[in-house]
Amino acid sequence: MSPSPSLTLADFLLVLPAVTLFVFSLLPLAIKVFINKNTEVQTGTNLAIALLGLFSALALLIIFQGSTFSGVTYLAFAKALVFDRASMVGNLIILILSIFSLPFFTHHPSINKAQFSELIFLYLNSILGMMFLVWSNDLIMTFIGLEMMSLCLYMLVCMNLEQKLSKEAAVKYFVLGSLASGILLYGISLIYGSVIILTDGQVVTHYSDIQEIAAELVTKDRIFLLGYILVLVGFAFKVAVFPFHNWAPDVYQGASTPLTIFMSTAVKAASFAAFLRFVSLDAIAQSNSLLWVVQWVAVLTMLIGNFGALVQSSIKRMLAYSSVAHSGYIFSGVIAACFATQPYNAAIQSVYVYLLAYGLFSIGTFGFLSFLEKKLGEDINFDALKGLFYKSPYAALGLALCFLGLAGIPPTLGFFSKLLLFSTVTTTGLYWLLLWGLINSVIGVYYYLRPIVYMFFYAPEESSTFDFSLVGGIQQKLFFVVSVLSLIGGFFLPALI
Amino acid sequence: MLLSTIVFLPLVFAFIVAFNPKEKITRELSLGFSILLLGLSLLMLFRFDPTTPDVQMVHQFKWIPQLGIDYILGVDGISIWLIILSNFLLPLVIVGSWNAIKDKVRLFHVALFLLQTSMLGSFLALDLVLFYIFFESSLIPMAMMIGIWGGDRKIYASFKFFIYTMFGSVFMLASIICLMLLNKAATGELSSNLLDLYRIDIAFVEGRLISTQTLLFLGFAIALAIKVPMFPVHTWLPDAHVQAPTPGSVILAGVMLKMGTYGFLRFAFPLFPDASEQLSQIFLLLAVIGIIYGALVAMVQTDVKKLVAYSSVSHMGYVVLGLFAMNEAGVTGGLYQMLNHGISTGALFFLVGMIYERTHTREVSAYGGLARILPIYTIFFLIITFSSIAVPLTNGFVGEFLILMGAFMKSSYWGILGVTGVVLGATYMLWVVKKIFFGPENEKLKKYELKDLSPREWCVLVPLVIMVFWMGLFPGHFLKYSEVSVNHLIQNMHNYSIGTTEIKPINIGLKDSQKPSHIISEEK
Repeated sequence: MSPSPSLTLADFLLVLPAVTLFVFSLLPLAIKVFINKNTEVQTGTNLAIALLGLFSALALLIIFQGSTFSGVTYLAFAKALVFDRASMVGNLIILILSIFSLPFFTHHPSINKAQFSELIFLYLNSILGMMFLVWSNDLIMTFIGLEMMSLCLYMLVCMNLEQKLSKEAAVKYFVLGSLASGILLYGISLIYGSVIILTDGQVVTHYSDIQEIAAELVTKDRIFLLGYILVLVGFAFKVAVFPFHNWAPDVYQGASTPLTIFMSTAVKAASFAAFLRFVSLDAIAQSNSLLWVVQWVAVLTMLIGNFGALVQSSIKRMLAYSSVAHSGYIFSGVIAACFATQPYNAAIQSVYVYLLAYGLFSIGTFGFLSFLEKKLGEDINFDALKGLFYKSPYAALGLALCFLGLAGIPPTLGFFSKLLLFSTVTTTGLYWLLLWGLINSVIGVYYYLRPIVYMFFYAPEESSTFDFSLVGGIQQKLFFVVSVLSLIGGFFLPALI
Repeated sequence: MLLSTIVFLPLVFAFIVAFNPKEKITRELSLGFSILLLGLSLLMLFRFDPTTPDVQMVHQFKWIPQLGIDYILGVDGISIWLIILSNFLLPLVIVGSWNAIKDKVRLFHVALFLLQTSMLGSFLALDLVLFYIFFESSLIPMAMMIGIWGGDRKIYASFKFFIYTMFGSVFMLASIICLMLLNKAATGELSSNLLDLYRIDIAFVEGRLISTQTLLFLGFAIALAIKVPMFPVHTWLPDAHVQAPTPGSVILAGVMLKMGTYGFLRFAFPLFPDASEQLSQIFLLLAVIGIIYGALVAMVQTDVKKLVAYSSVSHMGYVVLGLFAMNEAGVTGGLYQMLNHGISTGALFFLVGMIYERTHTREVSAYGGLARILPIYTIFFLIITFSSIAVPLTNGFVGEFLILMGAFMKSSYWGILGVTGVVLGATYMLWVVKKIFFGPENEKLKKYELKDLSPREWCVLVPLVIMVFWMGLFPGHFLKYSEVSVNHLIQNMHNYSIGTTEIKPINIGLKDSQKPSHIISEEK
């Protein structure tokens, strides 16, 4: 048996960011119940509390774990949590993306202002789940983090005010999500079972400990292989990878747009971070057939996402499908990470940079969509963008930059993140994956250009009532920050990696 | 620093023009800027030392060290005239668009300057990723030019242009990434610096069709062939040209197409000498097909602009023919023909645009007997036509002569096939001149009350005509700058191909002490 866990102060200091986040998540509810006598707190106050919580978590993370950047690794809670460079970067990205996407909740009409404190509670707790997910050092911890994140998300999806598709999305997300969690858990139990046999009954569950066992088992033990594949399936659902991607377009479309921002940025980043941790079990690279399957999964994800996006006329659905395509690109980076030997390697780095870049563009594009929805109602088509440049040039330029970033056209950050990702994919010798990825980005260019064409090449329509100058507020500033980052981010890439 | 200034000054100009409070003076302001830019590039020409093949006036620093991406700009005899050409055409384009572009003037000039930065950057970049960035970012302003100020099917044409080129260039990106990794395998470090990559040995198996070098070469060749454009991937060009506004066509034909042929000379040949040699027959064949096919299709066009567009396909075929002949005469001729094509086809698009502004039709049948109504216009058109069909004393003759000489040296078949193109080229150009300018006067033309060239139009055409004769009469003035670089390229390619290890790489990658004195004297 492993030595009895001893909890030290150091352990608690390491998870202090998460604890802080939890305390701050309770504040709005406490104020609502005890001070305001069940009347809703002002939205602004709630937003301020949440942002304060996120910023203090960010600060604490940097203060107590900053040394992980120089390669120090801490283990805490009987090695259940690991604090290394990868988890540090992952959490930073998650917190930054969450900070960026939070303000969009305050202005969107589909958000129920009477339940905003509850929304903040769920929002912060789902981030808490993500942090544990990124820190997790064994499969059980991964599962707990994943469930904590997902349960909050299920509720967030169904919390918005009546929209055409929101309830459908909520049910779909919940049912399929639970199914995936079940599959994941089943896979975990199979993996544990087969590992225990090898270790004389000792429960060894940490990723780093079973890394070598896994490499051996995957070729020998069918039970382990089955478990491994089931866990892969569970993750594939969470990150929306073919053939488990079908929920994503519906849920992204049905959820209120601010939540879509959150799901396509921070949630995606967290799921991929956990995925990266899982594939550090040296298994995929050992089995040629498994490698073959995951490669094609990545390629098909790109293709399905791109072709799905190609035929959409609703902007939101187009972006939702394109998000699937981006999952495919990122997934190819995850495959490259399977080959790496160091715990924090170029592949993980490139996946994180890509997640950050994609997250920023996602905030830009979905964020802009939320401006449009605020003025024009839901279900926005490309027509709404007609001639935007001639009415509000800055808005159109900013949006165009975000789309160009998504398309990966130089000199935007999108290009550099793609270059980084594809070059690490190529390092592993997966030339076909490189070629497919590049061909897919051309398909992507086609539909990302469409909104730009509508904005610049068409004359503005008289009937369209959208006026960007009326949007105002912190959201508008955020939008510009994101689009400027899209343009100049590439030049700061050396600092990012 | 001079080169970086030349590249990024247009970007600064774009910002100034965009935020200039007085929209009325946009054109005057832009013209001033473009002349300043031309002055700077002439300063570069003045400082250029034609006696060495080294890249000069290098400005470099590590940009993204983790990926081995450098920022490095440098000029040599191959790129210097293309820089001058782009900066020479820019003021003419601004003057030429004075009437053609009526709305969104400010945006137009911003796009023009952005385009200029990306084009100059791609001619000067000596790092593959840097080149790719400039190469690709030129698509956005050009697509905007076609899409915003274009004709009836502008959106289709703009999309087609963008997707087509983008499709090609991802293969180049794949090759670039593989090259970076090959450098890592050879030296232990990622690098996309061209001067590092020139030194690595890329596996090539004699007699086998598929080898690393061949595949990487093909990746580059697809992208560059689409850009040139070579037969059979030329189909975006007629659409783009016909839909683009006159200034867009001039820049597209004048400078952007050269990015393709320049790419062959700068990247594909020196990096993959064996593969280029191996596949040269295929490219020569495609070039010859392009020459003849372009000419034949041009013959049956009824739209003058489309005719010029197809003649472009034919002329760029000559350039490729010259380059892939891979001897001094051919490559020199190809380089010269790039400049000729920039001047003569640019001028033709200007001329077509001028008459279109007056009559709003480009149908050949709508004209006739124009020589009597617009005598001066006719004279200019004839001179440019002569240049285009390579009549002696004009610039076209020098280029085509050298190319055909190179082609004959390669093999007389290519020479003979190339010569047929000359005859066909003369046929369609003279046919269109006859239809438009001579013969009975077309009655329909009366209603337009045509006026001959305005002083502004004189300003556009006179510099072009001067260049036609200058380059035709004194080719030595121009060739002496590129001679050494071209010889160096050819010699090294042949050394490489016959297995001599004595490759003489271009020198800037060496330490400061080993650099030729003029490089050290240049500021860092």
